[in-house]
Amino acid sequence: MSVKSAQDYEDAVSCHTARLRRLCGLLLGDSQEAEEVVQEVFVKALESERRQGPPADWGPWLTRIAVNTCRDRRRAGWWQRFRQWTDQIELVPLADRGLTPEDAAISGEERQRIWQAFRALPDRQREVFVLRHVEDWSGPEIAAALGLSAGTVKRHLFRAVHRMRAILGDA
Amino acid sequence: MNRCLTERRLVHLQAGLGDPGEQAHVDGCPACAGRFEALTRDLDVLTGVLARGPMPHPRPQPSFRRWAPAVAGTGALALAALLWVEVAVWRAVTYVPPSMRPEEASAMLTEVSLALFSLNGYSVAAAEDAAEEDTNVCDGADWLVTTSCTPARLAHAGIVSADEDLR
Repeated sequence: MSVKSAQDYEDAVSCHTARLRRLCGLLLGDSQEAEEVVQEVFVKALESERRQGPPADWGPWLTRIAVNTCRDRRRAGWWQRFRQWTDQIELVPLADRGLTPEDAAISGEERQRIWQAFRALPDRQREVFVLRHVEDWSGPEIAAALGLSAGTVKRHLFRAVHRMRAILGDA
Repeated sequence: MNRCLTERRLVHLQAGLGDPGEQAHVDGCPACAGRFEALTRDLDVLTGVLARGPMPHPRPQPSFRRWAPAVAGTGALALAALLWVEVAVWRAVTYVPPSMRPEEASAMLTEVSLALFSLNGYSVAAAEDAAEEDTNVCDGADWLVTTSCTPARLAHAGIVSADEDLR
């Protein structure tokens, strides 16, 4: 690994760690496990970078590795997932990361309902929703990253949004 | 495009997956524009909670849903083991007497009746068998040295008369 490449890698780690931790936490539902997965993502990224050279854009590349690693983790620990996802969740107050006044106005009970609805989504719908509305990816980018057709991405996205909005409607 | 958009079309349009005709319709239709705004507002709330709010932790607590599969599985295994013991093991080790035929039952009851009403405690058939054995004891040439061959038995077997003195 050259000095420039090593510097790129260091920059990528410092720039994307928090975002990937959040992304993996959303996909896995467990911030502790998300931390482990992020470490794994950077190890995989380093190995891949040594073999194939640095990517053109670190962000989407790391995101793709993170989504696939989360999916592998979910497949491997189905029993653990079942146990955790059937548990009740509680909101632990963390340091607010740029909450807008609108975000702050949402009650704790409503947040909890939103999280429960989000966790009840099937894996694919959750991935598509997060990549589109949290990561702000386009439809074709999502389709390419997840290996789906554009129509399938649209279908998953609509179902996810429909179910999540139903929660807000019940409030 | 004159018809109002379905919710599906609105979601796709909001996600940037719609076509220009649909966008033009929303721009010109107050009803669809209102629904589009409501959708955008809801998505802002959802995204705000998911992307910027505090992340929840699963609270480990024993819940029935956690125990239910284990209880159901254990119950099914216990039931299967019970059935197996009943069918395979219990029947193999338990002796089941063959059913008695009517004539055998009748003969047994007759014998019991005779034993009940006999004077010496033996049934007639048993007494006849005993007499037959007594006779057989004194048969042959060795009756003189056979200790169990008593004078009464000799008399019963017709070897000596009852009043004959063997001394």
